[in-house]
Amino acid sequence: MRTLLAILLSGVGAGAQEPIDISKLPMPAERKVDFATDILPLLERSCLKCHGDNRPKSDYRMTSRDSALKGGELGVAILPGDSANSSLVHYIADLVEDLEMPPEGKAPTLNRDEISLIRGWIDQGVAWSEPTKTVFTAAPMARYITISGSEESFRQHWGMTGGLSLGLGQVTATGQTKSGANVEFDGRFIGGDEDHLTRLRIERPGLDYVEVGYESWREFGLSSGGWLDGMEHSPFSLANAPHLDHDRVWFAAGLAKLDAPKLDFTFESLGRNGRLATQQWGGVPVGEFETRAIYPATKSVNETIHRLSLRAEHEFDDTQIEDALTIEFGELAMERGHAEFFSLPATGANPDYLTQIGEEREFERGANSLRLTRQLKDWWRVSLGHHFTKFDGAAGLEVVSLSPNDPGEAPWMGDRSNAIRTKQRSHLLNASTLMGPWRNLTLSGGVQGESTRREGIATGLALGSSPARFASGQDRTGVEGNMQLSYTGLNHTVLTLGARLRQESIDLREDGHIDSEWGAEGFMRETDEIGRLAQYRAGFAWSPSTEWLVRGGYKWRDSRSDYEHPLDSDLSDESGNGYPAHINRRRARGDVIDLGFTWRRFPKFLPGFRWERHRTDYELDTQSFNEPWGGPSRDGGRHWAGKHESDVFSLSIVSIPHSRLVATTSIGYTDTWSGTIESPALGLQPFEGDVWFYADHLSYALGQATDLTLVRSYYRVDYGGSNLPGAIAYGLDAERYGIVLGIRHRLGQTAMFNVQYGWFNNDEPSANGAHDYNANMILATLSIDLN
Amino acid sequence: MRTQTNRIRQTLGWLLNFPALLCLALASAILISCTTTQYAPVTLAAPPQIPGAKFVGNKACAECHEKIHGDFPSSAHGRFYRGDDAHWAQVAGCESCHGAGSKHVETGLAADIVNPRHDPLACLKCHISTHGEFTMPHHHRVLEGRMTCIDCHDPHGQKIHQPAGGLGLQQRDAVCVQCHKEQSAPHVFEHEALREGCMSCHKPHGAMNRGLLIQRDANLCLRCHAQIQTGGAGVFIGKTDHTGFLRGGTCWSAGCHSAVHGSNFSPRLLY
Repeated sequence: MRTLLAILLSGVGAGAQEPIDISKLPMPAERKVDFATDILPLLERSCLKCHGDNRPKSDYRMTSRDSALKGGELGVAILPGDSANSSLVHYIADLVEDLEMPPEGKAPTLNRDEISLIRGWIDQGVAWSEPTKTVFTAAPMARYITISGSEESFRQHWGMTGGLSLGLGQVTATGQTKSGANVEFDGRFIGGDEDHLTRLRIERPGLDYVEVGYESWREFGLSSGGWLDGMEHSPFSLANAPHLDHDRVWFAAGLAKLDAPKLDFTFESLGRNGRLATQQWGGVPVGEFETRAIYPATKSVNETIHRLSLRAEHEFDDTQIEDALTIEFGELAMERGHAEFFSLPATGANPDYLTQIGEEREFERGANSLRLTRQLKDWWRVSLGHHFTKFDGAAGLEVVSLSPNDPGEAPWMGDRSNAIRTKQRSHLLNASTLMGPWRNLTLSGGVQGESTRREGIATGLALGSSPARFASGQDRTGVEGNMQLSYTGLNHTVLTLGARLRQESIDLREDGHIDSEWGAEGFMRETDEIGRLAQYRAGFAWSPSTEWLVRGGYKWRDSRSDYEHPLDSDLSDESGNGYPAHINRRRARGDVIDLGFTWRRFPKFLPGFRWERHRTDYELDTQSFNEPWGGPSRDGGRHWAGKHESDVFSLSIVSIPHSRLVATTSIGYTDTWSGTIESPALGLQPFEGDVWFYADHLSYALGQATDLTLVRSYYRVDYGGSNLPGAIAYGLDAERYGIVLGIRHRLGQTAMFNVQYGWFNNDEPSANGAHDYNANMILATLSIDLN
Repeated sequence: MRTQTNRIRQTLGWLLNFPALLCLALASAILISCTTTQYAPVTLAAPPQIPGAKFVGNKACAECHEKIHGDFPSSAHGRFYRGDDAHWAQVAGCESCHGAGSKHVETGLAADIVNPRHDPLACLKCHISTHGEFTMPHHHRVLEGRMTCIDCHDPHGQKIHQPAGGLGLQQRDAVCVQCHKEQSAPHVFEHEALREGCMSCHKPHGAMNRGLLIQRDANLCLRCHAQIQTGGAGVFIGKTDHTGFLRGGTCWSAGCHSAVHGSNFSPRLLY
């Protein structure tokens, strides 16, 4: 009785202090009450919606015997053997004002017979014999793909490898221990694609969790370089299929008690190992004095990063505190290979010169974010935050050129470092607020200040023998503000206004000194930059009924950087070569128009349309300068630097023309013009063209156990006109299809058989067929689901 | 260069392909329908549809998801927020993305609500052009299930780090740095474009160009790097005559400025 009084007095006010008239309770059931058949259905129907594992009301869980007996914020609710004095019984019998359970409208109430069963169950000792639910699913798969043409392009496009692949698409096992902890295991193994995942998680709901896992996957790359439009032979390619293996091992643990800080700790070890083709292509002669950089280049990577993360979250007196700390330690070794030829090579030929750039890096990176959020009033929320990042790095670099065709020739030593150190510190302070709605107005906005200092120093030998030293420093301070105002006072309409303003000041210093055999070389530079960004946005969303939403917006953006160069000295005869020492100003101005609609008039036909227009103009203002070796003077001043324009149209339709058929369709068209210099002699002209894309997914139910699926994907890229005769083919002219037709059939209650046939085709005339392929796929999956 | 004939052939092939597949699908449908008498139309839905569920309005969601509901008006999606009236749930509420919530409210089960983390199509039904970008030859592997939209975006505006808008702290390109550490590390000599952000040069979802570059020629660089044309065929970039270089390749692919993200030993970002 003391317990009952304590419960009632602790939480619920005057009404709770009234004595409980237990004579109003139905008598307890006299027969043997079975938990699984008599009680569990009542809990699931009327209690677990609010008192389950996920955000239980009053911190009271009824998911296990331990948690049910433990009670919640209102104390112990069940007294085994004493149902008359168990507050749970008083609540479900509506004997306590304001604590009638379940609350009206939340779930069905219990009738007197059901309350009688609950009383009998409590009096008989609160037996909890719920069978442990164990679910096991597995999806063994077999896939066979034949590819004629470029296998690497197929891999790049679709993320699948050719040939036979066997594996387990998905394995899942979930269950519950006797103590109520949930155990989850899932995994994936797909041979050929080298795609693996293993994860184990044990969670005690509302208390804590532990998780361990390992995953790895292979990133496939292209082996080709560039090509010339009209080249008669196939473009060059690397000997072996380049790929990069990624892996991740992790351990995570956390506390999730409602009345205690929420803590998450994670340790991850991330790795990348392998070789990919890069775009620092090697030169190939195409005329007496003409070369084109089209020969493929590679970069090998070996990287390991260890990352520790700690995240804490708690609420004190209506103030929410979040902190996220991340510390990383990393090592990276890279080697880039860059080939040069004196004559047009045959495929697979050794380069005349091979330049290798080796780089090693070690780094420590740390970041901490702290944020406090408080709801001051119903309509006013404020947030303050601080973010700090720290980076310390050490690196080494060596450049060597070899002659693979003449092993006896001594390597030519390029630049080589002795020591490289980089350091960066950054602080951000942020204050933001959310106010409203007040008279249909909602305002959110924030101010953020940032201060960053970066320093770098490198010492070594330039061209293998000349002592060299480089240093740089940068101080950046900036303030940024953003605001969003919305108004819902007009019928059916939301109006929004937004602004983002930023100003930053950057002080950049760079110097270098090289003692070469021809004399000292060096430079000292200082550049002061003021960067400004102004971005304004206005928009509306109009819904005359629940069936329509029409939306539109206009965004205007002006980004500008003004430079002053107080110091730009050079020890050579030609001073003032520092970059960007002759630029006074850069500016990019543009706007975006965005219109769209969503129509929900018919539940079986749901279209959406969107049009976006992007436009940006680039301007520069430069100083005048003299061409070297007595050349003429070039005027500076403001001039047009480039322009980008694009129109994007897109349409999405979900349609259900028949109760057995559901189709989703997306169609898009983009028209782009982007250019700077237009000079065939320089091999440059505007990048102009369009892109079509189409994707759909159709499902058709053949029967209760069988359905058909059809998935199609298509794009056409038409930038072929951007190619110039004799120049590198920058334009792209390509058309790609992918069609997958599948049938799924359920075998009883525990298995689903899925067979798919896929056809894939790529046609890329601008690559002279080097990327063309035609592929066929058969995929069979058996999904097994055991409860 | 593609010939007109070739294009017509491909287009015809595509148009013919669909009826052929449709016939195959219908033939299969008829054959299997003959052997089955019942069907289950409720099993078919396109996200964020939830068969059998009704719209309940934001208030019902806020009972459990209070924090998300509180932060949401300040998020980028908050531009469509127009109160919690169930009347607007279908077009401008939580359920316009997560699907009708009545079943989820009843059961509390994750299976009864759409979580866009598990199905990007729930996001792509509105962000249609992004769907197109994910089908491009070079793309982040979202449609393949390797990544999710939530890995980079916060639709509710509640993350402690928020890329744009919302109440969180913002740092440029914080989401890119999570994975692309090699490119984002500070260097002795920095490429100024990194201060402007990764999207100065890259399309984050997908592109027809390697490295998700916006463009595949030197136009990409010349927007910002002053080009002074001299007569008909010459050009100076940064006071240096680049006339002979541009035709040889792009600024980064011709073996010159290959350290595009910054260099530790070369002031001109050569390597």
